Amino acid sequence: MDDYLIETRNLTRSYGMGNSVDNVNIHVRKGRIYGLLGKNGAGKTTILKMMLGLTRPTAGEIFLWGKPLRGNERKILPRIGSLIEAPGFYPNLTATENLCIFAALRGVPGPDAIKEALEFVCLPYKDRKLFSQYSLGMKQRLAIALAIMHDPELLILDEPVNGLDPVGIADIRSFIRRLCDEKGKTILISSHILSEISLLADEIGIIDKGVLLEEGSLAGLKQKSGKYVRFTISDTAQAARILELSFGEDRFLIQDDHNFLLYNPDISVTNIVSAFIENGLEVSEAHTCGESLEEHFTRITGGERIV
Amino acid sequence: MDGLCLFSAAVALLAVVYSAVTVRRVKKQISDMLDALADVKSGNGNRRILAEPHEIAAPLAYEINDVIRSYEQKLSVFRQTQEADKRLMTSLSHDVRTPLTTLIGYLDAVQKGVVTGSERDNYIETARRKAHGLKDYIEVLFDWFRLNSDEFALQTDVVEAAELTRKLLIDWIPVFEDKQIGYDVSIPDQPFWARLDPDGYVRVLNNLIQNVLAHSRADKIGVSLYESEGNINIRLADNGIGIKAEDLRHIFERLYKCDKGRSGKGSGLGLSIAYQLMEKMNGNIVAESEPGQGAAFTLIFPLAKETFIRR
Repeated sequence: MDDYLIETRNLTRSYGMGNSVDNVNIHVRKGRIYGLLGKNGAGKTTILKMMLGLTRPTAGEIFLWGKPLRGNERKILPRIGSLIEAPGFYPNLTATENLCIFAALRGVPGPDAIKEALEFVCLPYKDRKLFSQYSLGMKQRLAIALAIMHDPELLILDEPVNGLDPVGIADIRSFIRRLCDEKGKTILISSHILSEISLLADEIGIIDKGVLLEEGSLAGLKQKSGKYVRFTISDTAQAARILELSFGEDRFLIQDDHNFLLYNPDISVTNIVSAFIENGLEVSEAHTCGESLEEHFTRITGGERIV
Repeated sequence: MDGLCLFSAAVALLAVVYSAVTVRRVKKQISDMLDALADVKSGNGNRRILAEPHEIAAPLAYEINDVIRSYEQKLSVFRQTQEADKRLMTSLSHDVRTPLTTLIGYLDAVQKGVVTGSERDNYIETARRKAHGLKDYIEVLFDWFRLNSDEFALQTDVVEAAELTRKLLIDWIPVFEDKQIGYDVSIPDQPFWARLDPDGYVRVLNNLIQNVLAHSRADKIGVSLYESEGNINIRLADNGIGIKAEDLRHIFERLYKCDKGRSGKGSGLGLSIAYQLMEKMNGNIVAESEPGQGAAFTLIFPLAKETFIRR
């Protein structure tokens, strides 16, 4: 049926009294970038840790490739690459040596896997610089190299751009995009930054206080949230003529004989409707659709802004 | 004697244990490989077989991965093209429908007698212009499909580019004057020979000029032809709104439109066609822009040796 690579069913994790993750049902499609968006402490990291078997769910189930994670860890986990918090690298070894250790422990798909992974994140292969001498940005790149070294089908990245400078952020964004577009990887990424997710994700899940508030495709959300006026009218051909002649407007899209969208939020709908009626057209609907993505998120998370 | 016996028994035991362990490990690896291959067989080209670099089965696993990976790459290119074609079909129906419906709006108004006299003539003129716009659009589409099905046969020949460029620009001058766009043409008198397809070259330059007229809102356009590092450069510069850096990177990709809200303004294919044609003629095309100040496109061809012989 639906090609979900990750599916959670009523996933719940309680710490002490409250639920830090509360009945979450996430659906990640194959070959897509899924952005998990929420404020700090919303429960993002806990969800990702449960998917990697690092934390046990209190209730609910996780399915990866259609199989329950529980009991199949040894088969499933090698197919995932992950970046959660900082991985443990030896400070007194170089980047290549560190990756060699992981290659021997986990296995790699090819003889040049380490070199390829380092090249992918633009770090030098067999460089003599020690890990302890790396800058924060280079450490983060190395962590990504480790996550992709075994060419996994699924990547789970928790706040991968935390602490990076703008250039580093743009680089990592393009790495992730390339992994998805060129190699067909599935990527689950978490962030508390709306603009970051909206630049990268195909699909998006919004989580607040452990509850998944909304899930859907970003294109769909953008379409819902873009500002436009939808008209239903007796004759779109005449409407188009009137828009051009009387309003000098060309930002419209005709959908069929009776429906069109007008992409100019500043224009007065009243004036247009009366011009249509003066010209003998029947206007059965004129509906302004619009809120920006930010407004949408602010509203559904109950008024508090997500940065 | 006893010691030797014991020793050889110990060695034999060790060997048996060792080979048993090895066999078990290899068996497990083979079963893992079969699992992975079954997955690949069912269409998952991203599955890899993992092996430690020093394992017995490692070279086999790496070789299989290589095969899977190279097939997956080919498939991925194919899937991306398919995706783009799908988007083209959707945007095509939108891009044709909006101007066509508008055109019908004018003709219907004329037919129903909504307007009379000179206004009626204006309506018919507008409809005629829109019909021509649609025809241009269809021609662009036709070029696009021909280019992408490799039916566009280019015949490159050593051609004198200065005169060719001058002739092409002469046709554009009435258009510039009509739109009140100032023009500045600087083409030296001496000949510049280069290997290109004249039709392809004309199409590229026409596409670029059309692009400036449709999108830049420029009131000045400059065309210059000059030699640089053994190449002939044809530079088309305008003083319009320019192109943002993030758009500039994608400008030659198919269906890329800087202003996504606007419909019926071009197919999003013109620049991509220009790029592909230049590629087929072994030339190069470069775009640069200072947003707010204008943009410039430069076509670069290697100069043919005839340039130096015949001068």
